Amino acid sequence: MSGSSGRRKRKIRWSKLYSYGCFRPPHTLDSDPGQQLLGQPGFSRVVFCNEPQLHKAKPYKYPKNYVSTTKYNIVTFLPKALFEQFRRVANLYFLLAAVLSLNSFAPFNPISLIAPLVFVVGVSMIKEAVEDWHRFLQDLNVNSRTVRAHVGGGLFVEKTWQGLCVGDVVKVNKNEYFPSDLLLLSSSFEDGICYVETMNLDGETNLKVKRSSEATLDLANDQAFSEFKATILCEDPNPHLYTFVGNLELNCVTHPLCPATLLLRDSKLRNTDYIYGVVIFSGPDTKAVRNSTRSPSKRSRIERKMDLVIYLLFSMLLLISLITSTGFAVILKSQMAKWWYLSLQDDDLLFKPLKPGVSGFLQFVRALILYGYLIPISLYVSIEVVKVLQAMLINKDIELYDEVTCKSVQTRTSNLNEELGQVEMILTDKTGTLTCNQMEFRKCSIAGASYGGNINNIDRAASKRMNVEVESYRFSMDEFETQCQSFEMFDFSVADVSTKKAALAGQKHMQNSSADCSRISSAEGEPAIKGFNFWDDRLMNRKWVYRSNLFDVTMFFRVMALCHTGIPVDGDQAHKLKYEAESPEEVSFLIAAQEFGFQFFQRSQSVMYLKEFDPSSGKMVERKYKLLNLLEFCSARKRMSVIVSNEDDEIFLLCKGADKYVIFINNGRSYQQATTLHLSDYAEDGFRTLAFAYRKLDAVEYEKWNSIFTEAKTTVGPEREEVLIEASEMIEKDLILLGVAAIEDKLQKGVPECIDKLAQAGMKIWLLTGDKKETAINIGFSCSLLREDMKQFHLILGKESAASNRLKEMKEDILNQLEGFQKVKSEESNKDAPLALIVDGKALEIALRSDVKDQFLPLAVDCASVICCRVSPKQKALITRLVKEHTGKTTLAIGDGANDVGMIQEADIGVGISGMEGMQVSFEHDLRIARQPTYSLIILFSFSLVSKMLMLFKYSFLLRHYKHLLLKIAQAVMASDISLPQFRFLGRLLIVHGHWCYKRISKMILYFVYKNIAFGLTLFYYEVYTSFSGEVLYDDWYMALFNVILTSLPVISLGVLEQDVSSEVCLKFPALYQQGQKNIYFTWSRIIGWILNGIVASLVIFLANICTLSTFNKDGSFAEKAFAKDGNVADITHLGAMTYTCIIWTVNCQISLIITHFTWIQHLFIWGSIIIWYIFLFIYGALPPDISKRGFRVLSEALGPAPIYWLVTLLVVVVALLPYFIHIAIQRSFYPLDDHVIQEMKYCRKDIGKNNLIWEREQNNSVMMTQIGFSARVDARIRIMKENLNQKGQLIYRSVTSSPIFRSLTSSPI
Amino acid sequence: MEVDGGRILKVSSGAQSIPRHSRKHKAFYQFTQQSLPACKPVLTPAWVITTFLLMGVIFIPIGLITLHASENVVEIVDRYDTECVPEAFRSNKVAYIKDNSIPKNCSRYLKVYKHMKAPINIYYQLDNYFQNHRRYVKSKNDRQLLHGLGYNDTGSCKPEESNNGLPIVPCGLIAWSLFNDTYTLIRGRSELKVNRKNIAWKSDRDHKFGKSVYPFNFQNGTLMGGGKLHPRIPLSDQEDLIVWMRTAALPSFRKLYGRIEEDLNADDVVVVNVTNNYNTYSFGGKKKLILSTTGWLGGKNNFLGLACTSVGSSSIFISIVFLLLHMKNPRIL
Repeated sequence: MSGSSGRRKRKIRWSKLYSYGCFRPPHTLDSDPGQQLLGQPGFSRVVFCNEPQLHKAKPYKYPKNYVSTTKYNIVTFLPKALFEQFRRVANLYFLLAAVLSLNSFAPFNPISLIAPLVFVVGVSMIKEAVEDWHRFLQDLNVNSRTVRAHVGGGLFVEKTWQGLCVGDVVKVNKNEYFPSDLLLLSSSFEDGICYVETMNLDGETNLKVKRSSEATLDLANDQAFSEFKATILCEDPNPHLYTFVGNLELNCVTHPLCPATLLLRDSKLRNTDYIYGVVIFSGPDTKAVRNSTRSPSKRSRIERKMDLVIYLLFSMLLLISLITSTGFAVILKSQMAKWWYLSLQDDDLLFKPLKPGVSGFLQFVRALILYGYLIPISLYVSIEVVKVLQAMLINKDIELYDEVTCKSVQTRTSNLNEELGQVEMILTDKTGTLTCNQMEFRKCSIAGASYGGNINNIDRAASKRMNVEVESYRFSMDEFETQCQSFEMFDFSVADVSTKKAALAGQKHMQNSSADCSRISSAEGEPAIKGFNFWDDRLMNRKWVYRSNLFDVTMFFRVMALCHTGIPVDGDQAHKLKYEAESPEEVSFLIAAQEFGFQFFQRSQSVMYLKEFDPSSGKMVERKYKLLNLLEFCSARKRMSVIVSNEDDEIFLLCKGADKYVIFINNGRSYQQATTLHLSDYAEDGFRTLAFAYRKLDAVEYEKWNSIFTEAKTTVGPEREEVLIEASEMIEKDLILLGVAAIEDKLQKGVPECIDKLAQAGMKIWLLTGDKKETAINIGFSCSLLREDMKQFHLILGKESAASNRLKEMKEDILNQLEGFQKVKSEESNKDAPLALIVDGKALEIALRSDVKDQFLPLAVDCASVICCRVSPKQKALITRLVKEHTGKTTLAIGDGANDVGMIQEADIGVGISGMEGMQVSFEHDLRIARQPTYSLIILFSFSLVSKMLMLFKYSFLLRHYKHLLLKIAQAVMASDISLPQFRFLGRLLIVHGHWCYKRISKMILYFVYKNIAFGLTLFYYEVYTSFSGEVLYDDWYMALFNVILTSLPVISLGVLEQDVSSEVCLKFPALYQQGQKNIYFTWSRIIGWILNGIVASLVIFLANICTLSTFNKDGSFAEKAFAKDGNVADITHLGAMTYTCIIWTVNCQISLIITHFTWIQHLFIWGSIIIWYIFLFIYGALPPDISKRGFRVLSEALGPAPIYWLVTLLVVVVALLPYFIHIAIQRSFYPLDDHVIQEMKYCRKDIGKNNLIWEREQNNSVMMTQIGFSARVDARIRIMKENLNQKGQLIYRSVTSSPIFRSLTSSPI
Repeated sequence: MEVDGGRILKVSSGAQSIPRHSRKHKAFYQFTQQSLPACKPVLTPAWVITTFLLMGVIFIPIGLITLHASENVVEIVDRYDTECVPEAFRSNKVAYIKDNSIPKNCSRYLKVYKHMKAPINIYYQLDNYFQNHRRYVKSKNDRQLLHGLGYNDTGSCKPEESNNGLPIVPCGLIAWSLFNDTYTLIRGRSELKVNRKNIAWKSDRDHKFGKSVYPFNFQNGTLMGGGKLHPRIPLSDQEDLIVWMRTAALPSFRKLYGRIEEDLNADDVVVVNVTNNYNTYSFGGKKKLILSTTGWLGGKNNFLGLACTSVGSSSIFISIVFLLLHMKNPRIL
């Protein structure tokens, strides 16, 4: 980027180059209705250019250019965050319980209720605070970026963005972002235009041209601004990106301003050295900021369902509390007064026989607290801990680490881990997500001959699989039939040239040509030159000079080198140049032309200079082409042309454009048919195709046309464009087709494979892109979202209705189309055909209106794939929301740019691609630190509740030290829930981690419910025996330890480490993922089942202990009896400890039945928990009785020596687990789920044998139902091939059998 | 390019150095990659059948042994609360029991139906007596029991914390309602010696009830409570109280009264002289006297044995059912 290229560029008046695109449309004050509104409400903004000091006081005081995205500040944090926390019903209940527990009649110590609440709320609040701090740092970075601002006297100094004021004049250099919404005053180009990249705003990749008002054109250097003063009257701040109304008053002359003069914040200056602009909207007033939405807090589906489970448990709690209090009141009134040993008096309101109502109510409150174990606060704590650990493990997955960008996956909110296992819809952005935003020249067809390899992956894979099948088939045949078979094969391969080569490659015993092979493999590899991934011996290295149709080839290359709007810039290699152009396609053409020996190296006002390889002399020669006219690309014509004259004064019209718009006005040549064939081949491969054509003009004709065209150019008024198109079409006719070129919009690594896996996993993929329809369809093909035998519906506004611009007509148009599609869909023949829907942005806008969407959405959801093109960011968000609401399915949105932010925030899960922006060395450094084992071991061992805190510390530590690296993360990543370095990681993230996390969390919640019911209900049962007086069976310590230590670690290990199948198996059977989509692990029947299991377990535990400790008298009553040899009788303590032991054993054994994946960690935690209970009981009993109270020597003296204690534990564990065990035994044996079958096959090592029917059946299951993706395309192709094969086989068979030799062979007896 | 090369170099050197590091690092790597070696038991039909069979094999013998142990325990139960009230007072038992002037003696005849081996435990059993009532359970003071008057905070003992302005030792409802029926047992001519020592848990005697704590101001109040305590004997030796203070878990409970240190033969007749002091009549509670031997399982209880045998036999039944089902339609894998 030296000054020389800049100077070269500056020489050109771009308005000459661009025939009408940049032509300044004449302004008339009354033509624009907006102008009249100025000064009215809504259009009252006044900006004094270059006088920012005037904006320091009212009434012209506007906000500073400081942008804040934080939710809280220091003052509002506490009340706001607390309010957020206690909006959760569960937290509110816990708060209530904690407040009540402060009362004297609470059954246990208030600390045991308050501490966990403080912990849960505290952790969540710290998380909020850290996240907000994160945002604050990001703001800080953005706000402290610098820009050169005018300070007077023509002096520009660096100023931070936040220091900018409305009215400041700033100078923005190439590749810098605009600090706020600016009015373009002038640029490095003489005619005041500049190029702007708006990818962050709307996702469109092509550059946009902005141009300044004529009045300010002469402000071309720093000095010019010393005296500059002007006043701008314009609209008030609003979020509309594409509108702007304003006036510029300069030297008492009013100049109107249009949207083209406005440079928006978040867009970037490209291809222009610098611009001068004046700040009109600052900070929160800018359109980009006004357009942004606050990120909503997301909760996973399971968590929302868990709320319902909590409500269920809460009603259970209310019920048993009610039973307790009513029972108490009745007994209190009828009997308790007679119990003299209680010495009931009026001193105790809780036990006041005269007022059973009051006492009953107090008992009710007590019971609510006592049975609080049914609603475990620890569930929330454990889930938080588990999710953080899960997120940590996902982040650490080395398979999700991108070595190119040195980034790994980052789960930014851990709330949604399990939601990853339930995704049914994926809405994906195109550019930067699926594609690299890089065009490559891949193939071309010149004069009917195709170059650049002609086998695509689909064909190769299909024929490979075919061959395998054919061969296995062949072995089973006798010799004679084998011959027939090979006949078939031969015929088949001759018929299909493209398959032949693959078939050859597949069959090793046949000779194959090494040249073919090398061509295939070189096409696979990474290109040596960026933008050029082409290899063909016939064209490369100047070999094209030996082609027979040399003239056509030369012309083809000339079109490539001349028909464009690009400019050369200095490349890094000596002889190779780099190019800049409006679209990346043109760049790739220029590079390709250069590779072929047609180097475009200079452009002046009207001359283009080429260095051409001259076939006759064999040397490079410089040639000048006079650029006579440039007919720019427009969407109506879909082509562009240049008219040039060469050194011999021959005039050529060179044209390139969409095939349909070039070929069909062709006068026809012999190779047209072949070219059309190649064209469809290329398109099917997902390449973007452009047809090249030329026409030789004679001078007279040209002059005649030129006058018409010049006249058209100077036309004023709305019909101008039409006139220009007409004029262009006059000359763009009778073209001679040269050929077509195929450009690949390069997909990112592994994208088709990933989409294939996702499709097999039952996910639907919608492509939402701001790009053109053709591009979108090409990408659809190249990543296998579309395939050739699909029924494609194109939903596009008809010409008339679009032109009329009336809503009603447009609506009718769309409805008609939708009806048509429905009809086609319901036709008999199309029942099973996969459908694809392609929607244009404008049509989408109508289709998403409330009265049309009910027709549109069902159709769209039915389609195998949906592609929406030309959609705005707002529309992306809208589609996401509507799909989410309409289908009720879990949606995942993935994108990389700021234009995807809305969609990312709206979807259930938002994924940001983090790989593409500039990578940082420091980040790599950070990762190394995190990977250091010693450092991370701390995290490993802080596995319990502490781990969460440590994580946060680590987080804030990193924030402090590496804040600069966090700050460069793009907006999409900031808004996302998870950031991935590459799209291809999505497959593993969902199919492996999502699947795991879903199962883990759902198993964990169900187990938690079970565990707490099994424990909590024993408390209730015991109440029945204490006349509902509220005595607690267990020691306070047992209760406190239950959820904290004795049963927490196994659950956490279940939640973190459980794997139903290993990651490889997950990826091999993506169909397993559908378990999450159908949510079969968290259905109501399962939830109720687990609740019942808990009830059964609690009953078994309690009754068995009561019965064991009692003896039955003959009169039917039973009483406590001696439980050991020495004749002592058990008291509450003993019963409590025994029951509790049984509970600990039962719940821990239960989890070992749930877990299917035991590492040493699970073993340690499960069996360790049980051992810890005994250790605790022993130590607790050994403490002085002052501390241990009832628990004094309970194990060592009473329980330990009693065989009955151990026996009852064994019995209870077995009986309590029996129902569940029988259930899973029956389920696994007779109604196995997919994962059960796979586990069993893995376990029996049945997968090793290749001829395994079930293994294949399972694998086919996953492929069968999918209609999109690579595998589905291969299948479809195989179907077609088989049909062909059948037909041809029959033909051959008939011919063979009818041949006399065959007859003689078969008829002669052997 | 230089940067890239450097990075690759570092990564590769790091990879080489892994084996040199301790096994811990490898384990940690496996942990983060979720690829720790694991055993993945799968419940195949074979496992199901084996497990149930195994359960049967374990539980049936245990059940039989337990049942046998329980059957060997000899237990004599005698309910005396109604019988010991003279006919005249049967309609108003409460008045009878509250009237201190009426002698409360009463004799019961127990026939030993089977040889009872010493030691034979004597229990009293109270039914419908809620010793586990929350108000009751809380109403004691552990520190006072251990440290005596030196410990004055007796708030938990309400309403029996003080009397006439003086603290009560032992305070609280439990002690106040001490059971006070007494039994003397006579076989033939001679009185059976009842050992009333060592009937409480040793830990209670040694660590929970003070050796130098004597009853004070106990049962001096107007409200009628239960038994009285000898003011000269330290609490640690008042084993009746210690046993009583271990509050029972269920509303029907037995408590150890003493032990007979000699065998009782079958068809022996034991005469029990009961002093029927304790008031269970006002709330309709029953009183029973029990003579019982103990086995290794403690008192007589068939529950455990029956439960174990039934679990064991049903396990075997289930395993047979599974076996048959599996044989009928075996799993195709």
